[in-house]
Parts: sequence; structure tokens; C-alpha cells
Amino acid sequence: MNDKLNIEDIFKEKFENFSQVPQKNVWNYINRKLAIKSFLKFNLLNFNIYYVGIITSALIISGSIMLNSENNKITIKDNVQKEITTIQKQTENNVEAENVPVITQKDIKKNNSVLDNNQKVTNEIHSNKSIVDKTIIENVNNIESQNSIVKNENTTIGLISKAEFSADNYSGCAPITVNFTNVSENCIKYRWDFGNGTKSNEANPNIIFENAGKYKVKLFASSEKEDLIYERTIIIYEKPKANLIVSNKNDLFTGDEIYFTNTSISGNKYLWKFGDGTNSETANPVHKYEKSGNYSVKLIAISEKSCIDSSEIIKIAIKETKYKVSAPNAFTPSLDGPKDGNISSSDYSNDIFAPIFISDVAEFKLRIFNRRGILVFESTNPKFGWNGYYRNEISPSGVYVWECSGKFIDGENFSNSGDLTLIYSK
Amino acid sequence: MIDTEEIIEKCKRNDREAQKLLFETYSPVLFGICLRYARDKFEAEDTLQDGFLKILNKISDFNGTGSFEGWMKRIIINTAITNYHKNKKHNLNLDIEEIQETNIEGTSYNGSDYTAEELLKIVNTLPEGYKIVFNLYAIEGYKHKEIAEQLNIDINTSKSQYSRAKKLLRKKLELFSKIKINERQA
Repeated sequence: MNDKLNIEDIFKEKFENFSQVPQKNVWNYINRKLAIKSFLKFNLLNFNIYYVGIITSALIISGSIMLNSENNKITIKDNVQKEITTIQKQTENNVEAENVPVITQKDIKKNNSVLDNNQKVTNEIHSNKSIVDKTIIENVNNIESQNSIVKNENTTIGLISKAEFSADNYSGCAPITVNFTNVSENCIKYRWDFGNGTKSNEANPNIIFENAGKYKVKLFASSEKEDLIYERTIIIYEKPKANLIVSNKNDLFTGDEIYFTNTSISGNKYLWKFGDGTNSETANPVHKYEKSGNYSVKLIAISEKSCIDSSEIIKIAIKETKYKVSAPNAFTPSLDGPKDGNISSSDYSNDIFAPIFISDVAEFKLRIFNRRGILVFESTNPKFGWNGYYRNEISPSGVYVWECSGKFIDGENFSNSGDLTLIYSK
Repeated sequence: MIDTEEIIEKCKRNDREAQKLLFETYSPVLFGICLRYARDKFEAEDTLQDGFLKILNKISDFNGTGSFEGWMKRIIINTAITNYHKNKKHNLNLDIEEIQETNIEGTSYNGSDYTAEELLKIVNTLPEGYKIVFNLYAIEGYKHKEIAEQLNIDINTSKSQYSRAKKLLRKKLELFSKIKINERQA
């Protein structure tokens, strides 16, 4: 077993903080990838000269395709070529025309029918030359695809619509405000469904998700032509509830063990801040304060999904031990008649009840009551305690309450109380 | 000291300078992890590149709670595991018979005898399967159950590979310190 620990420890110790600077080319590679990525990410905001360039080159390429197809069309009659140029002109005009789709479609139909007729004619002429036929069909296809390319370009410039949104948080801890940013393109109307019963018509809504859960957020966007939906899931994790109980908040002294009980809900890890600069990660810690003073104790609970909650601050007052006033909680009075109440340090009989002081007291008042609230004993001398007798009769066994207050010789006030059990058997 | 939160925010907005700063700050630690998993330096660089791109890609998902460094390390480790899966068919897997049980008595090594670089060399001589299990279990502190799930192997395979990895390492450590002692004497 010893060996096992050794091996693991050797490696763990050395590897824990092992680091090595990678070569510069690694960042260069990442940088290049990032540049490509951000370039390809189409965004109207950074619509720039590159996109204009791409569209222009697409136009040039399509233009040359058209030229090639014209060259190939030796066998087609002149009127076909005329038709092609008409299509070209019309489609070019259509770019600026208002009712683009309607006109274009009509024209295409018209042109196609003309082409069909011409094809038939040419088919008749070159019925034995299938290769030429194929060329014609290809040409017709070219013309058609040419139309669709031009149509696409029309829409690229102003008519492709896209529904999309981004959020500043796709996951988080409840309750959380999520700011949605609408990055839809060419849409007019927006409608949101956040999956939590909330709906909105705003363009960029901010929504509070109060409870944990998986929410399917839908954006319905309408352009002039179509209705689009974009959906993304937002995951909200449950927030823990940090809660604590202190064993005793009053009469705490330096060096006393203070017991903290963790009553948090759905916490996984904990951090206690005792206010004296020390922390603990124990679930239920025991803490001692070294110095007197007022401390603020706080518990931070962290859930499995790293959601955090802080408890309310608990104030704890710690007094110097020298001001501690304590008392035994039971005593056995002498059955042989009342003793005088003088306390002697050599008397271990436990016949007299009195509070115990560490420092000397200047003023002192002790009162003891029975269960009915009747004052059974009173003393102003700290060296003089109760012998258990009331009006020269031994008091019945049972529980009594004591109350003690006064002043230490250095002027510090004190007051304490407690219960005590009187025990005897005859 | 750099303000991590500010850098994260800027990285979320795709600020190239912040991304570079993030890389410069954390890449040595992350590269240290890559080196442990990769077969050589070039593979480690690949893992770092892939992993770091994933980090920048997913940084908007980082919700600000928990340790950011821990999150990045996990992504790097996960990338290393993915790479291990990808390269698995190219890897040489050692059969059980080839591993000789070594005599573990009289071990004559202790931690201070080795530098991190030397230990890295020793770990890198392990067969791929042993190496990844050893890394995950001993250094990263994964449980055998998690390793089995991650590597898509049986939990007992993970355990036995780990114990064999340890035996091999013990043997190699002994050998290494013997060589070192001889060198010192010579």
C-alpha cells in the first residue's frame, strides 16, 4: 500500500502544477482558425467589402456561363438567342422592379414555352444528332439555372429572411434574467414564447426565469413572404438555499466551542466564513474564536451545477473568558438542617449553589425562583450561595431558576441566568 | 494579475486581443496537461489547438460560477480523451502477456529524484491505454466508474489497466534511478 501511495504521490506532486509554454505557432494556428470562423459567420453588422466581392464574382461567373451557353447555341435559331437576351434583360430589370417574384415567374414560364417550341424545332432538324440535342437541353437548363441564380442574388441582397436569436446566458442559476438578442434577418414581426408561460412581441426581450428547468425558447418571425421559427433551449439550474443554525448565540466566550449546523437545501459544497478571517469547507463545523468581539458568520452553499447562495449573516458576540459567569445545573442540599451559605473551596459536598466567576466581582445580585415564580433566595455576596432551604424548610426537589447580574471590578457588566435541579432523597 | 472575469467577458464578445491574452495566460498549464496525454509534442500541440478553440467556442456557455481554470482543464482533458478515441485504431495496444510482473521489493526511488520532465518521459513510455487511465485516475482524480464511461471500457478494465500501469511505472522509475546513480558514479 505504501508503494501505491508513493507512485501516485510522486507523479501527482510533480504534475499538479506542471506547465510548459507551447510554441508560438499554436496560437498562430488558433488565430487563423478564428479569423476564418468570424469571416464565414454571416452577419449584416459586419457586412463588408468581402461579401460585395463574393456577390460580384458570382455575377461575373454567371455571366460567363451565359456567354458560354450562347456560344454553344449554334444550332438554335436566332429568335432563341433573342429570347435569351430578353430573359437576361428582363431579369436584370427585375432586380430593380418592385414585384420581383411575380414578374420573374411569368417571364420564366413564357420564356420556357418559347424555348420548348424552339427545342422542338431544333429536335426536328437534328433528330439524328443526339449530342446536339443534349447540348440544347443543357442550354435550356443553363438558362433556367441562370434565372434561379439571378433570383437568389436578388434575395441575397434584400430578401432572404432568417429567424435567429442569441442570449447572453444559455444556462444559469435560477432566478436569472436572460437578455435575448434578435439576430433575425429581414423579418418584420416577432413573437416570442419562452416556454415558461411568458410571451413577448418585443424585438430584444429581457426575461426573468424564476425556476429551474429546461425551457424551449421559440422565436416566431414573419417576413413578407414566410413565417419562420427558431428554437433554443435555455437550461436553468436550481439555486441552493444556504441556511444555518448556531448552537448558541448568547453568552459565548473566547475558546468556547460553537457548533454550527448546516440546514441548506440542495448544496453540494459549502464555505463557511466565520468573520474572524477563517473559513471552513466542512458541512457542519465546530469553531472557536480566539478573540472577543462581534463576528458576522455567513454560509455559502454551492450546488452541483455551481449555483451559489449565501445565507443571511448571523451576528455572534464573543466575550472574554474572564467575564464568563457559569453555574452548576444541579446540587444536593444537606439533609441535616440548613448550612450557612458560605462557599468554601475545600468543600466538595455540593450542598451550596452559587455561580462561578473567573474574575473578581464588585457588584453582585443572585436571585432564585421556584416553579411558581416565588423568590426563594436572594444574595448580594458572591461568596454566599443558596443552601436549598426556604424559610428553614428544605425546598422540594425539582427545577428552579436562577438569575445573576452585577459588575466586575474592571467595570464590565454581566448578567446570566439558568435553571438548576435540586436533588435529594430522604 | 489579470482580471479573469473581464477577459472572459471580452472573449465572449470575440475580442481577439482578450483571446490572445487568455491563451498566453493559461496555455502553459493546459499544454502541460496535453503533454501528459499525447504521444509526442506535436500531438500535444494538436490537442491544445483543438481544445482551446473549443474553449473559445463555448466560452459564452460559461456561466461565471465555478472555477474557470477547472472548466478549461476539463475541456482540454475531454479533448485529449476524444483524440484518444480517434487515434485508438492507430495505437499499439500491449497484450497482457507482455507485461511482466515485477518484483516490488526494495524500491529505491523517491519523489525528489525526478523532475517533472523526466516523469513525463516515463509516463509517455506507457502504452496508450495505460497512460490515459493512469492520467485520469492518479493525476486528475477521476473514479474508475467515470473513466470506464469516458473511455467506453469496462470498469474492471480500467482498474486492471491502472494497476498494470502502476507496476510498469514502478519498474521504470527503478530503472531510471539506477541509471542516474550509475551516471553519478561514473
